[in-house]
Amino acid sequence: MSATTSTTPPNIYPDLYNFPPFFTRQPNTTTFAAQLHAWSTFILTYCRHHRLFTLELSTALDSDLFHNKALNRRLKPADAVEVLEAMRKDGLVEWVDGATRSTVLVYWRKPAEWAEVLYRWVESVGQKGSVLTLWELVNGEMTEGEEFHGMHPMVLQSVLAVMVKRGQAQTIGTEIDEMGVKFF
Amino acid sequence: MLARVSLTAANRPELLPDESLLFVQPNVGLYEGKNKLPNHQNGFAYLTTHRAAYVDNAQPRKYSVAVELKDVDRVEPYAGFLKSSPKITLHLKVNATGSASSTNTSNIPSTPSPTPPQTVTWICPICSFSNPLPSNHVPGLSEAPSCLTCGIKPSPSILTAALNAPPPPPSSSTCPRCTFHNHPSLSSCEICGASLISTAALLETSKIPSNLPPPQPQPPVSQIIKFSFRGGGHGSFLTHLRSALIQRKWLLHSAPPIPRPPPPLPNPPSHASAGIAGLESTISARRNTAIQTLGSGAFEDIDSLRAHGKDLIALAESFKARFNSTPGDGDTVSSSLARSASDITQHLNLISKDQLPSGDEAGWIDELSRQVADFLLTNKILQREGGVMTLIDVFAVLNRARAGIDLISPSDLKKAVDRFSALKLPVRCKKMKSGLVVVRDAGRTEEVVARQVREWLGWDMGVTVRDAAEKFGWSLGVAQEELEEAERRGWVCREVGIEGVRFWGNRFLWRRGEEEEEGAGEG
Repeated sequence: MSATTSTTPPNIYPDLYNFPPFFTRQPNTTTFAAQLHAWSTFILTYCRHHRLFTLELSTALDSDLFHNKALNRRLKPADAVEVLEAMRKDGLVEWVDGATRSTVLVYWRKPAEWAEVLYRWVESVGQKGSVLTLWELVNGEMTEGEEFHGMHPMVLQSVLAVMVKRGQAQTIGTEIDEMGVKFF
Repeated sequence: MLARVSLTAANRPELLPDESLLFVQPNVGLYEGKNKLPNHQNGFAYLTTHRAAYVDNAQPRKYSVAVELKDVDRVEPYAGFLKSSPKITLHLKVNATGSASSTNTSNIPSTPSPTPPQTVTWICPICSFSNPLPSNHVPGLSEAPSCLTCGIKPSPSILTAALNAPPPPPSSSTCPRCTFHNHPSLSSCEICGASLISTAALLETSKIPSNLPPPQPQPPVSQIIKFSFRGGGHGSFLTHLRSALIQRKWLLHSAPPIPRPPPPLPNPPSHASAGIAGLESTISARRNTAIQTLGSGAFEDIDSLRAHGKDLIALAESFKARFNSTPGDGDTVSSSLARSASDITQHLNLISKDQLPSGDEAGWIDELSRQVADFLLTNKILQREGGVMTLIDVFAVLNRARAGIDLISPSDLKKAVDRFSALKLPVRCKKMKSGLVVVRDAGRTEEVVARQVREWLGWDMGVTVRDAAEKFGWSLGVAQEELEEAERRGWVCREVGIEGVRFWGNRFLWRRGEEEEEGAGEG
């Protein structure tokens, strides 16, 4: 953690991160609600900072997110799942695999917000009317440095679904690798 | 004559140094003379070696009185008849009362005893007997007395009429009641016995001898006190009362101590006042007094043992003080148990089941409840335990203090602590979430305790159950419960680590600012 903290601005770690009870599931309901809220805020801040669109539970449990190496405290897997499940109910994350619950998509912006970000970009670079492949959109050279660069395809799909509904885009093709999109 | 009684925290009479409790009887009323004393009609009668006391159930602090047994001339039982409860009448000594009233109620001028009270009479409508109205009768407030002859209660209108009747004519020779013309020197009517001295005449006579203020219209001090045993139990009370009157324990207080052999001549202090020799001589002198106390016949017969009891206790106390002078971690229940063995030497005011009428389970439990409260408070046992004790510890300490005689059964103790709040005692019994029953000060609500815990924890300190137990003097079980209670209230939160559970101030729910505002923060 020491290496990470020196390179990243410390403000992504909340005060509570250095508070040992933060890593224990609180039995008191009121306290637990506050704890869940603190975790959910922290997870979103963390993912935004590290531009993580997905969180794989097994790796995340060993990362700084769920493991405070300085304090030698970690969140138990079951408790982490409980936190993520609570976030899912708020629409902040989504299980990629509902049954096994090993990976989540993290919506540190909601799909509707992403749609706006994407549309603003399309307008600013004059790509209206042109057809782009999905791969090109999130991994191509021209979107480098944009907030949505590297977006997980599943997140992108739900963003595009919002845009299609709004009449701002139309998807072409069915296979996820070969899909294209046209913006209006 | 009826002196007020000072009560302990648990509303039992406070006993004098040599006084001990003999008997307790619930459901007792009090009479002064022939009339019921208002507000003294439902309470406990406590018989001690020195006093017979009445403690009211409803307002014990206000209406609790006692009669000194040394003022009692004779005792007269009354077995009761039909609806009339059994009573015990205490006839008080006249001269003793005079001295008692001069000490107890010194500011009230004693009324001249030969003058009979100015009485108002009412005529019974049934049998036309003229009854005297009790002197302490207040119209509309106190209960109307029944006719002395036929037992019928008069209607209020008759009483008001009697009260408002014109005062007797000034000519004192004519009886105001039966109009018989008496000889002027008579003070009461020859025919009907009514008082012939009018109020005016009474005032005049009192003015003539001295400049004393005129006698107040207050009721004259009656010489008769009756205990009415509505719930029975007068038999045992009478037995104990009679034996107390025969034993006259109150005389012991002023009795001279039993003579003892003169102490050996002290060593000349000139050569033994300094250095190791001085210390040694002091120690040996102290040892000598100890040996004297033990050896000088203290164990020879029971009377001298009693007489030496105080010296023995003082000796034991001094030993205890010496042992305790080495500081230790003296705040565990086990050490409290050890200490409670010495508590027996203190004045415990213990009650046993024999001191209550047999078969009166509720009265026994109530009295036991008061005693447990007294025991925990007066000996500061509860305070030593941080204000909270588990019922099991209370049971152990209590029965230890009883020194193995007349022990309290667990079920009786449980019933007794359950009565704490009903009897408005300053201790409370609480069942924790886990089922653990604790006894604590009434002032120490969960709120107060949780606040204390929180203020102690401050902003960034984690504590284990053991730390809390040490800090507040609780036993481990109590500490666990109190912390979990504070957690349930959201004051603290927990951290489960490898070392076990630690409790922290709840930073999830408070912000640092709030904490500092309240001045409780440490970090």
